[in-house]
Amino acid sequence: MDPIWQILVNGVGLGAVYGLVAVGIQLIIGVSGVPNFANGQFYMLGGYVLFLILGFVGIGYFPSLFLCILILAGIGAIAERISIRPLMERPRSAGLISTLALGMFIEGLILILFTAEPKTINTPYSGIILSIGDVSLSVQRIIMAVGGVGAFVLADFFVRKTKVGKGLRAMSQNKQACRIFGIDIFKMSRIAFMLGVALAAFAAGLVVPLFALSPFMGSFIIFKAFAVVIIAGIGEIRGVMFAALLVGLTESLASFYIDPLFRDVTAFLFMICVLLIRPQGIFGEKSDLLFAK
Amino acid sequence: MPGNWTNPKVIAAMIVVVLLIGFGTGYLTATYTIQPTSSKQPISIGLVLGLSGRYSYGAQQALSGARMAIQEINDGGGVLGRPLELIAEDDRGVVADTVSGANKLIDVNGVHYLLSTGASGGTLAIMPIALEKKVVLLNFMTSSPAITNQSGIGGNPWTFTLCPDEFAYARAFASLVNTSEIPANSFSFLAYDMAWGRDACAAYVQYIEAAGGTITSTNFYDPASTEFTTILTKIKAENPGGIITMTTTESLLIILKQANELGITLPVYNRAVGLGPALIASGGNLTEGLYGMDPWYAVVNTTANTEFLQKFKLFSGTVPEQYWPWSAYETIHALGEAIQKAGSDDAEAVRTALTTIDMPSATGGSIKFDEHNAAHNYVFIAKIRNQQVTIVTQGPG
Repeated sequence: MDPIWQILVNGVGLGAVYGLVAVGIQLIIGVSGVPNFANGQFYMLGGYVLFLILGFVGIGYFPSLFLCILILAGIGAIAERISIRPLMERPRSAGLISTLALGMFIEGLILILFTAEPKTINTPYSGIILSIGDVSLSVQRIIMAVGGVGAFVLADFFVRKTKVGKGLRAMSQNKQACRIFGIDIFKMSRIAFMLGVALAAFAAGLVVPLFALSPFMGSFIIFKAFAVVIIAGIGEIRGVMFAALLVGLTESLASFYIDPLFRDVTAFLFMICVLLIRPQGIFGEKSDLLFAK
Repeated sequence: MPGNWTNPKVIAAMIVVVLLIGFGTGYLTATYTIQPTSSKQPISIGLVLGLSGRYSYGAQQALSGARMAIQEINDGGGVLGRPLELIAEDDRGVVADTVSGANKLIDVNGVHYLLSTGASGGTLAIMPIALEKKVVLLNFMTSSPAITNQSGIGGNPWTFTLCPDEFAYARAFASLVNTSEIPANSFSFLAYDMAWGRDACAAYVQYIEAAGGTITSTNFYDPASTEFTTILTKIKAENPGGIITMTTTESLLIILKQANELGITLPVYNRAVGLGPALIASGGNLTEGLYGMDPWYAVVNTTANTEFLQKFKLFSGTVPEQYWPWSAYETIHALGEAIQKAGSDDAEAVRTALTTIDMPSATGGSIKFDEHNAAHNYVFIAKIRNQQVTIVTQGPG
């Protein structure tokens, strides 16, 4: 029997994973114009911080997740000060290389501290499996999907309705004008980076109980997340959710009906098609932030 | 201040930091040399392995196994009165780096004996180098049948394999198909998309079909992938009697989790992930009933194996998670015996001597090379029952 519903549920789950990592990238790239290639490693770091909190503090899953997000936000503030702020007046390539180096540093540090031996995080929800007809999924995956939607809604509300969020949007449009109007661009950059990293930590906290923890888990997902960002359009948070869902569903369908190896190619083929037809992304505006000064 | 990069003090400070980081990491990570304390000219042995990177935990244990053997031999007076020296190169699990590491060990460090890396693709890549430069290559970890096919009378007399190849594991597994231990006779494969994964799959398909079994599908995945629900959904729909995996430890843990999530209760027969305490601790109840196929397990009940485990724990402070440290340990001892038998460290003489050795292995088998320079030690099929590893069967390697 064709397990189409399971395939679709798998796709939604995949999309939620990519979207959670991508929304943090979108916030940072939208504000500072710098593609944060270290976001995958911050996602991985969030997993390890959660692992340590669960193992040594013993305050339960959700309080541990909250603490993990706060810790990573703090780390994000420090990382922004070191790797993004000094290069704000430089060409974007400098920030790109800086975040690449930052990512390698984080990965290397975790490898030294924890070795490459994979670890697992179990929550009270990862072992509870629900079966509805032919569809099976864990409560943890439902939490992940709900958390993902919640993160998108909150991030979108923050960017569109709050004063700080409007400042972030202003910065993404014109930094010079922001300076003239007295908006502290360094503060905005720090806030965006902290939020982006915090979202990566939130993603890890929801997702890692479904996978295994290793120093290399961020390297693979970052490229998928960037594909989602490009498909959505640079700076478009609303578009990220839709694009992530599209990518997840396409991968799930391709894996079943074509070949599992084809799955990982799908996101990038999709990205190329979108770029050929609509270079600014599905939801993007024609001004391409990546190439604007 | 941001942007003040023309300040000479800032530039000088950056140069110092970069140099410190570069020299520091280079000193700590790139080349590991375990040098003897004797004043006599040491006999150098090279080792190329993924000492950093994805496979580094097992590789570091393999390095410890090799070092332990070197120390034992040197404490006993060395070989031909000379100490052994181990020079290790880190290839990070990348085949291109395996080749450059092997060339460096041979051309720069002047080694005549080389222990191969952790990936079959890497071993296959450096076999022509061993042939061209007349260096004894000892394959102690990788199991692609292509390696043994090409060795000895297969064309490369300089490569020796001390671990069983995939045909040996496949034979042992197929002998259990349609029995009470493995009542299933249809299987789906889930293997990572590298030379070893594909070769291993092909070997198992051949023997399972010869034993009357059927293959419902062979599924390959990118080694870096962390999401298996899509492949597992496909496998579940095929309804095989079992799943045979050829994966890394990380992937296997994820597969077990996600298979459980999808309601898959099929038995999992894993090739290559050691059934060690770390796997059981990480996987918990999900590892119950998991099979493994390897040439060594800690529970293999021989006096020599018990002694090896005790010595390794004292030496490294860790417990072996898989067969790599044991294999490295026995390979160094086999090489030492061959050099002693040859009466010199001339590579050609040692190569000839290797073809004549017959030494016991800690698992109860023996290290004795056939016409393809393959030593047929035992293979074991094991299973986790009540969080303990138990041996199901053993077969010829």
